[in-house]
Amino acid sequence: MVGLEWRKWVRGRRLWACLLILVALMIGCLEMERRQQAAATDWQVRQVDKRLAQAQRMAKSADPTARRLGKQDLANQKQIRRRIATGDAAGVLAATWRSFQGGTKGDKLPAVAPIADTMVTMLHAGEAEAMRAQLVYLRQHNVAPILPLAIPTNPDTATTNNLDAYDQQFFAHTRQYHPDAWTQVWQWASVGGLLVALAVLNLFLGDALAEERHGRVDHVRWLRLQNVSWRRLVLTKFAFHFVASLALVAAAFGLFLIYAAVRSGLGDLRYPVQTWVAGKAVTPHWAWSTARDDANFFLPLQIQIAPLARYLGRYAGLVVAVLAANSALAMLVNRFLPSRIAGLMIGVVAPLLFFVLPTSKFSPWTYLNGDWVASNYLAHVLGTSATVWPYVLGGIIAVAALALLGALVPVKGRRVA
Amino acid sequence: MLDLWWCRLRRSRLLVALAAVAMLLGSGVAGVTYWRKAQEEQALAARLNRQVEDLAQEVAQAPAKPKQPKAAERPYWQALALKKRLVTDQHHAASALEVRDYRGFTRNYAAALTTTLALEKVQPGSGLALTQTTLAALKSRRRRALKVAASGQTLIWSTWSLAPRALAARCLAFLAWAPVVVFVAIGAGALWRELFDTPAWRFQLLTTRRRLHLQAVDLGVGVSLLTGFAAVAVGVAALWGLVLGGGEVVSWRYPLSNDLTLGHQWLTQLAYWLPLAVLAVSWCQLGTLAVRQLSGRLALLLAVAAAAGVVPGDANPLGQLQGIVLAPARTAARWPVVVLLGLAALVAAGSLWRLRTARGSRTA
Amino acid sequence: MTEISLYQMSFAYRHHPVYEKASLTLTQPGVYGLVGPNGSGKSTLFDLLCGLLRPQTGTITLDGAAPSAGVVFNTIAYGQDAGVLYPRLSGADHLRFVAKQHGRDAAAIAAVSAQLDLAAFVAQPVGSLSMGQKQRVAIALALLPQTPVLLLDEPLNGLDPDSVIIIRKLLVGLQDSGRIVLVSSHNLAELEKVTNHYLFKVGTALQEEVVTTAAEARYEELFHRAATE
Repeated sequence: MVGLEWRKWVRGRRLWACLLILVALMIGCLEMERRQQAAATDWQVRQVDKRLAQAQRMAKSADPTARRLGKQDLANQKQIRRRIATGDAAGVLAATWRSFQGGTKGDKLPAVAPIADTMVTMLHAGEAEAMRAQLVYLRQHNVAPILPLAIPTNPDTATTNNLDAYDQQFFAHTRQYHPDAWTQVWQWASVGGLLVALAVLNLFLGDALAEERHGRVDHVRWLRLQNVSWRRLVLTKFAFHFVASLALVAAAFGLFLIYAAVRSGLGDLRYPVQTWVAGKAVTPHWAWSTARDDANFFLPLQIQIAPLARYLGRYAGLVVAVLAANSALAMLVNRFLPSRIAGLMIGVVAPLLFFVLPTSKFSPWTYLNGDWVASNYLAHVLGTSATVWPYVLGGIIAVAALALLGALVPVKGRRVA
Repeated sequence: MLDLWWCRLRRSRLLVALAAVAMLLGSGVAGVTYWRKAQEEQALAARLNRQVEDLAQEVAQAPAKPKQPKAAERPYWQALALKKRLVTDQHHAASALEVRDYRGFTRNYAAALTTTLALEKVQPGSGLALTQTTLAALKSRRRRALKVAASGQTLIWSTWSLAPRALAARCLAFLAWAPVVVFVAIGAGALWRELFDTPAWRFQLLTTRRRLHLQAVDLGVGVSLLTGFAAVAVGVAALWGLVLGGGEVVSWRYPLSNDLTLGHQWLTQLAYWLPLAVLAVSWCQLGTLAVRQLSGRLALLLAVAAAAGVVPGDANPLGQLQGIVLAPARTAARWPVVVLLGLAALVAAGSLWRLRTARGSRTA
Repeated sequence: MTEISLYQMSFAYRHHPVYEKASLTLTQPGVYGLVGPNGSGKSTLFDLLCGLLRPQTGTITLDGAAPSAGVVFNTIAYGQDAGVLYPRLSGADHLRFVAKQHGRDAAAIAAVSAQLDLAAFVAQPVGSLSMGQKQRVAIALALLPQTPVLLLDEPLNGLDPDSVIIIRKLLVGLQDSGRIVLVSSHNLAELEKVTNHYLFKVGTALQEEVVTTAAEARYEELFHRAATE
């Protein structure tokens, strides 16, 4: 049976098409991200140019005080522009750290240049403290920040901030860019890339079991006469489906890594990522009226900055578990719906429901959010302070096992037409 | 030929399956809208309340107003009075939203925007700092809110609404999105697939005088199924709207912008529907004839449909329909329907050519 | 009088030649047996005549015209393998459809059904019929149009002895029907009872012969001797 199945898979051409699509999506994502990053940099430069023009007018003012301040501002804005235009990450980091390090000494509010300094105070889900922690981490580990430097927001930001979240300024200064290989995986985790990959995989593999019983074809009886029971058939199909899925994802990722290494570099696995861990109430570094509540927004959890490698390790574990569950669920669907087209279409639609269904602890799709599982934000959604990653993986594997058990319920097989 | 197709349709479970999926889809659209709207309202109410707290604190901490304020200080006191009024307007708007009194919310939100604009005039920058938007956008929002309030309707704050007409428009907009309509057309094209993915084509082609006739009958049946699907889905969504959207009042005259109403958008969507359905069914017919392998065929059909939607340009009808919802900026122009008709004709011609010439490459 | 003509016709499946510069002209009405080893290209010839396949070189004409969809529809009825039928439709559904397409009435359907004794199962879905029953429905569909040319591909496959007798009587009756009937079959004993006009598929050519001796002997001569040579 294994040999027969191996020959069927190897002689088919659909796996190559699947691989091609996965690689194209990965590379396309990287290219789009690089383009958007370049556009964001251009936008920032244009904003600074507007301020430069203002400062230039001030510098020519008749009032000596205005002239002095204008000249200072002009020098300042020129420096900012140079840093942004040349991608001077160290310079940007140093400048931003200067506005964040001091807490509320004087009237200085923390700012992410080159925008107005009220933005950070309008965010109420721990963003200011998280930004400070990120800057500390970047300095301690000597990691170059990805520009434009963004305020690390979280899913609660949209509901807790005092800003219009459709505003371009807000988007421009909270959008984290992922322009190299490892950070791209981070982005895929954040945007539901795993679910898109599942949809693509299921488009090509979603009828693996159904093709044995589809339409006028019914190989089940013939196989039974060759001493291949339904159980053995299903387990063989499951194994091939799972291994093929893993191999396709791994191969696509390998090809992507080669491309990304040449195009933009692999990136730094130490890059700081927000994670949520059990923690106690903290004293904020600032004293505006909501600062304490903002800094402790996620209690009993606190935001902790962790290296990207740890985040990606957890995400990889989730990917493997989800692929196993996907294979088992494909067997289950094919067992009860022996139509190839139904298997393929359900396999495509089901993962994509992730993008439309709202968050709920009762919705299975919530537990497939790669970013929430890897960063442990899911613990906040579920109202716990535990690290949920092992439980989520365990749950997914349990679902896989149950689905496989369901698929093993034997069929009788039809008379061949 | 039509008799045979009807016979085949009746004997299959396709009609039942399509109806079931359509009802599920319509309910799904309503369900997602309900949830998203609830989330959005919660966020908006929270934001309004936070602003109320901040403003109230500012007003409370302000010094007592002198009997004869100095001329230079008058704008400050005017601004303070407006902020005081804004506290009331926003508080009432937030409270109305929390109890789903949409008429109350519309009235008070319009009042809040009017007060914010007045504040901006008196103290430039302060109003815009509160709303974090541009002056033009603020004026536009206020104009729309006042127009809606004056017409007795309730405001759709962003694009989520449970009013039956709005929900029906959203459902149709979702169905008109290229990958979705092609996906449904693939499902509805079961008869064509059964014909050409099995040896039955050998019988059918030899008992058909003109292959154009065969293609036309299947096209007609496919478009009818697709339109029926849309009608059921939209109808179910509208029914859910009647159940869930009782507090909202949104008519066809709802102003999406200065010169565009919900009714206009709906008519535009309807104008697109038939050519879009013809294109989708023709595209699936061509895919079935051109690509034998089922997975590869589905991938090609869906990938091209998705990609076609992101091609920029006003002339791209699929791009025009890309996820249109109840926002004026996203309403499609009507003239690209001509382009859509042209595309549909081209794809149908491709199918016919394929039907006439390439059959020989298929053996039973 | 109908004419089927192949002139210097060549056809190959992916570099595997089936016909090479084959020529044939049939004008005489009657039953012709198309005989050849398995996989030699008998069904391929039928597909070529019906326009379902196109020759790489050479021409095929039906009454002087190329086998376009319209010409084939008016000229040829093809009794194919029963696998071409819609499993969820009944034999009656198929018959009604073909009758409507060719302008035949209910009486014609009844006559053909009676001829092939379909009454017991014609109303059942084709997918639920036995192989022999499906075969009879497929033949009935080919008889209904009353076209000048009738192609029957292995009509005796899967039939019980009663059905074989029915088909044999049918074929004998077709001798004088004024139609050109091509019957491909491996059952030479049955073919002999119906005709002595044969088209032998020898190598990549077609040989038209009138065989007065036993057809099996001639088959042996042509194919087994050719193999040993």
